[in-house]
Amino acid sequence: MSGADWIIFVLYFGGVLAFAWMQSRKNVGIEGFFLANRRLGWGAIGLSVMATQASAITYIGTTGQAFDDGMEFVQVYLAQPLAMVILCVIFVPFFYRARVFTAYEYLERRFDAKTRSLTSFLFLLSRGLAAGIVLYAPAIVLSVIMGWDETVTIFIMGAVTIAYTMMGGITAVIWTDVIQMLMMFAGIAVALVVLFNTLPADVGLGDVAYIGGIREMWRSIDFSWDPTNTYTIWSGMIGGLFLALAYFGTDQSQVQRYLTASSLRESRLSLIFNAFFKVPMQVFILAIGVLLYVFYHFERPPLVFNAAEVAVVNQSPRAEEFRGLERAHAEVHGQRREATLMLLDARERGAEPEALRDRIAAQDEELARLRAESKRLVSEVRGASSNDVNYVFPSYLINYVPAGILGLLIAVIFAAAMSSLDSELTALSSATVIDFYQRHFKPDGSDAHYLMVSRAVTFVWGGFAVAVALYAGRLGSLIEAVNQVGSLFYGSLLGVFLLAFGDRRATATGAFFGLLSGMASVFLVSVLTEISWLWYNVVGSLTVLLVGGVLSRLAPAGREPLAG
Amino acid sequence: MEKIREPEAERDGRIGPFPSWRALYAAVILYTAALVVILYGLTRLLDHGVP
Repeated sequence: MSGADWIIFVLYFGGVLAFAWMQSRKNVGIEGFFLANRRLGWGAIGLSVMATQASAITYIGTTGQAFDDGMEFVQVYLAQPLAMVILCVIFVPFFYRARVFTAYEYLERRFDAKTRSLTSFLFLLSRGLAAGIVLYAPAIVLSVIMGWDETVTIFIMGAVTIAYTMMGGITAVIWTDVIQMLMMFAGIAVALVVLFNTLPADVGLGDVAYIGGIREMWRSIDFSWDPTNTYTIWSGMIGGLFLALAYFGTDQSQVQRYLTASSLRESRLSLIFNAFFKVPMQVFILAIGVLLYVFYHFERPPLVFNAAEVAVVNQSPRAEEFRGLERAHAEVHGQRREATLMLLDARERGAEPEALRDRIAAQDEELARLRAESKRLVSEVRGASSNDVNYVFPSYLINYVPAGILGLLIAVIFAAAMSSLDSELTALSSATVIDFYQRHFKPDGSDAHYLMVSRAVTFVWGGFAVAVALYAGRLGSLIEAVNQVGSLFYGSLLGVFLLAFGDRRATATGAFFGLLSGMASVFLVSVLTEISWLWYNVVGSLTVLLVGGVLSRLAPAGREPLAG
Repeated sequence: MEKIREPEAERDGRIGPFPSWRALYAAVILYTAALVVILYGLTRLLDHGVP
């Protein structure tokens, strides 16, 4: 990185910390620390909701995924606007008018303490581990870019995020999220412009669209019915709807955001903002990946983008096998580059070169096959799956992006990681203090006492996230297990809240055992079937509603639902 | 599903260019449908391999 890159970098980190320090003087109580005294407007909350969802892996992983598979990933997000409407109509009024600190607090008022404690515990379990992964995944990518040991990147991101979250609480978190989200918007726009400008001078937008279309990279909608495929319109509209409802409606890291609003109207508008802007943002991020795919028709891409993985293979007994794949890859890429230039020339003369198009499609297939084969080789040598997809965009950044702009785009990756981690920390801290410490251990503490404990708990959760991130590299497939454990809970948690809001006759016993049944059903489905994980949330929710509803009618009547 | 009671101010106020919350929600639903149609149109238009 150049001097200009470093200046941008230092300005960004310094600005975030200075802002949090200013906010820290305004926090005089626990409501200020966790809920910004319920005074924020929809714009800031809306951007913070978006920043919380968009982690660094969204930014760098999604572009890498689009580089390999095109735009199909967008289908996962298509139901999000509909989910926002359902949340605005059903969920938000209940939470807002109950004036709760955590989503799970509502469940005690509606059902009982054990349902609240279990749901909050499940949140802490899944999000606590996930916070470490949120930190680890971008840290290893950034360590490759910066040439630092991954311990350094983990400590820098972890320490800065813990510091400003402890000092400024949710207010600092939300306003830094606003800055970080605006940086991400700028980063996406700059990346698209820079990518377009690094294409050969005579390649226009029409040519980009045409080249991308040869391998169906623009395919955004797939109407085929296949529940094992995550990327179809049905998985997206049904499974994605339940996922969005579970994430935005029951995950404290999101619920806490719209509880900070000054009115019900502001809460709702923050979600409606996301309804309108999330999908276009995702389309633009995916378009970066497709543009990268087109760009590498003219420049030779690495066979495997993760340089650390390549180094391991090159020092292994299978190094010669890998070099053979690299030679084949270079040869086919050269042929595809020549065919692409001929195709562009023919198009300029008004011809429709079908033979050339078919030749490029065949070469694309061969390059994809060589890439898959090399990734398999890397996985066998390392004894762990290759995560090369997260390195596609960073590899482009360090090799082709000019100084100054590189600093901005790397700061955006840091910002994306930190804006997700800070939300996790405030959510984990609020659930720990409100749902456990205050509820079970010290219900009569002063506001100053809870504020001090909240800061200490934020520090502990931050330290835990750093520790998980430091050891994540040694956990191997446990990282995938952590993500899978989270998906076992989500749908069932949604089911409990739907039961609370929608079934007047639902009882605490019905909700509690419904929740256990939901998790068991998702576990069985994940073990016994091949259906996509997007459908787990549907299975979990419906099982809780069914089992919880039936048990509630067999058990004595519970409490009346709170007014919405 | 329990009917949610809303205060008059929440129910009747204008929300930017929208006369009511109901109109805003309808706009979001139409927007979602439009997104699907536009993305499908782009798929058909730009992908050479789509039948």
